[in-house]
Amino acid sequence: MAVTITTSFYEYDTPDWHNLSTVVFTSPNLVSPNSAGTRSHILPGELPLATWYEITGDDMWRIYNRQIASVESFYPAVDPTTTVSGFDLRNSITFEVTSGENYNNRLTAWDSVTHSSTNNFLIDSGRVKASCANYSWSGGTEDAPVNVEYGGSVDPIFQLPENPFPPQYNITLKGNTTSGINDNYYGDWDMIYSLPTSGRAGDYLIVRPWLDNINASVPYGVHDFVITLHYSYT
Amino acid sequence: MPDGNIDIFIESSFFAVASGTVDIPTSFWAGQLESIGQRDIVTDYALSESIPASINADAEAFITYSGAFQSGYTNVLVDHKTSTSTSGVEVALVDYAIPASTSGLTRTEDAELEYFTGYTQISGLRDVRSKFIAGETFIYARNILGTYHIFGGDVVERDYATNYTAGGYYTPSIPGPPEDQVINFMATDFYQYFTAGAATISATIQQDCELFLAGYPMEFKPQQYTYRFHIATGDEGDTPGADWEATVISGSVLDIPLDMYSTATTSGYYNADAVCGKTSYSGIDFPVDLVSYSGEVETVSGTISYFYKEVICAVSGTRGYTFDIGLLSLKISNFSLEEDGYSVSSGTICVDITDDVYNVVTSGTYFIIGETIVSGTFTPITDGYTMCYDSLDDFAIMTGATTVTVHASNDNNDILEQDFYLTSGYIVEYDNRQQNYGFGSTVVVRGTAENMASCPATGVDAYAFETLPKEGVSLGATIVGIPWETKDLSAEITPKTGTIYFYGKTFRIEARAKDFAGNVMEPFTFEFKIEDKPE
Repeated sequence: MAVTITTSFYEYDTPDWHNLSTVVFTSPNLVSPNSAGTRSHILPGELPLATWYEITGDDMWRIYNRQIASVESFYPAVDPTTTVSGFDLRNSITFEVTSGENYNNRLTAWDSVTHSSTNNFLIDSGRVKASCANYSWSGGTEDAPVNVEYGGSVDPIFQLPENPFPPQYNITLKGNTTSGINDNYYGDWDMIYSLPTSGRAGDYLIVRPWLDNINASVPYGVHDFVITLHYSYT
Repeated sequence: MPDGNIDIFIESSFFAVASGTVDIPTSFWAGQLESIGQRDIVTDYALSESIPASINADAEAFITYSGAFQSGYTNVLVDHKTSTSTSGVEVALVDYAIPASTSGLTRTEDAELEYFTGYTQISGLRDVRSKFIAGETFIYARNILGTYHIFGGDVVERDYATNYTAGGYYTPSIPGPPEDQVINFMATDFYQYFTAGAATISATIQQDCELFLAGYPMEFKPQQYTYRFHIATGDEGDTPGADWEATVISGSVLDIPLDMYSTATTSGYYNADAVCGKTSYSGIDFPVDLVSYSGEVETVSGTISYFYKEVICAVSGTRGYTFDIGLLSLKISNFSLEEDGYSVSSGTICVDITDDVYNVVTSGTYFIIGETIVSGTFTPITDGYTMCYDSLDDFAIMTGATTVTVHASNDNNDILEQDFYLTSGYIVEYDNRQQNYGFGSTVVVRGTAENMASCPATGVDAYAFETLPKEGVSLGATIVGIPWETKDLSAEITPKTGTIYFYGKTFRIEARAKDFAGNVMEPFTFEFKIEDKPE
């Protein structure tokens, strides 16, 4: 069955969902929203790099005024728009299956769209981080869901039934590599579209990207990379 | 020997072995009384550097007791890890054999094999075998946990071979040897053979084998994955006989032959699925991922309920988003105030603007205080300038929290701005300026401290003291220090009697003065004359 996956983010100040094009790490000093392509790059270590989400040819929004602290821990949600504990729509990217099923999903980072190399300073040095969770919900709205079900939950009510793959926090994304017992990717799990009549909405993948250890040791220049969701479907 | 756990560690180290083969034989023969409890036989074979010779690192455990096991487990754990680039032939061989004459095994026996390669390129032949041979009566599950990981790019001809041979009365009630094989890159062949015994089997046989080829890199093209399931005779069950599934997430497999031989009188049914992902992205489209999926089913005698074989050729896709990160060579550093620091408003604020690639442009570098652009003075430093600003009105604009933006530019048209947040912080006053400090007065000293930076608050304190009354002395002099801004203080000489000043007399005055800091003024002398008495 063919699968359709959308990628979006939630802009909180003027609440709305937007389709994502590019994630920009740049100065937090710019006024949000701003025209897509506006950059005021700042030096590593001088100021927190803000996370901006951009739509091609349209606007870009600053998501939370600054990047989350470099060493992020599992922190409780403080806002009713929270989906899964530890995640917030305002600083995360959401993948949603709107049709079909996809299997063996794996989220990781590559240097380019060819998905074959990690030859990138930020990736190779382990600075590309993300926290990830796949979930569905059975009440509320998409931007304020309740009864969130996700893998690994102790409470069976909140257990994602078809795929109990737990959330993972602050993992390093680095191709298909493994460091010791830790995989440098998030996966593998399945996602299935839930019919509206089932009373359950999903499945979703929520990803909060961030960069670690951005300081003067990061060389001057462009360090663009790609975070990719790989999946199979029939 | 007492009961319990006994670990035997033997370490043999060799220095500067020229060439050839070095064997390290280590044997441990346990007697009957010593075969109680757990025995760990640990063999570490470490190479500190590459050597041009073949290496045999075998760990063997023989159990010669032919009777029934009474208790406990038998574990054979072999780890073979190659951490760096090597060349030549490497063999990791695990033979786990229970003699055919053995009977009455009633416990689980696990043989674990873990094989890891390093992250770097490995060339040459590679032959990894895990062979498990059970005895005739094989009642419970026997697990060979074969974990085989290749991380680096390997140029290999034979990757992995597993022989699993059960005895003549193989009657497992739970699945047999599971295999966990994860190949990330450039595997060639897989061989996995499962052979059941030749005698009548009273229960069903279920042999599950699942292979995930998880290599997203496009170069992953194993030539062949062979799986052979051979039941010699006698399967009388009717539950699944064999489930076999091979899943290729991406990349391609050229051939997956699956052979099954059965002489069972009434065999179970067999499922064989192959799910192969098709890789397609960025205009690169592999036409066919699974080139061949061949199979042979031969029933020597009896029947097979059915043989179900399904090939699912799936497609794979990707969905991602790019990250745009550009870091400047332009730097702003060393702002003259640290966080929570302070300075007097009459001072200056300074910051370093440097660029180790391009030139800092002073005309495009300035402060923005509030919304007002103010130019600073530039002092050259390495790779840039120190920019300072001294406000003529002592930063009178800072009546509250104020954003000071440092705007810097270079001749590559890069612009860097950084905000610093300042506030007027502390005002200390003493309102004692118009008081009479003269003789016999009450002087009130009152101080006020006002904090406008954080947690705004005002504090006041005061006290009073009495000055002494004026005393009459001959030619005594007094100085009265009011008003407070007066620089020229007058001195009054008061003669004790009013008749000391006579007409026509000349007077010479010598004044000496010393302040509370100990400064002594040079004596000041002058003369004056009282006019003559009027005629």
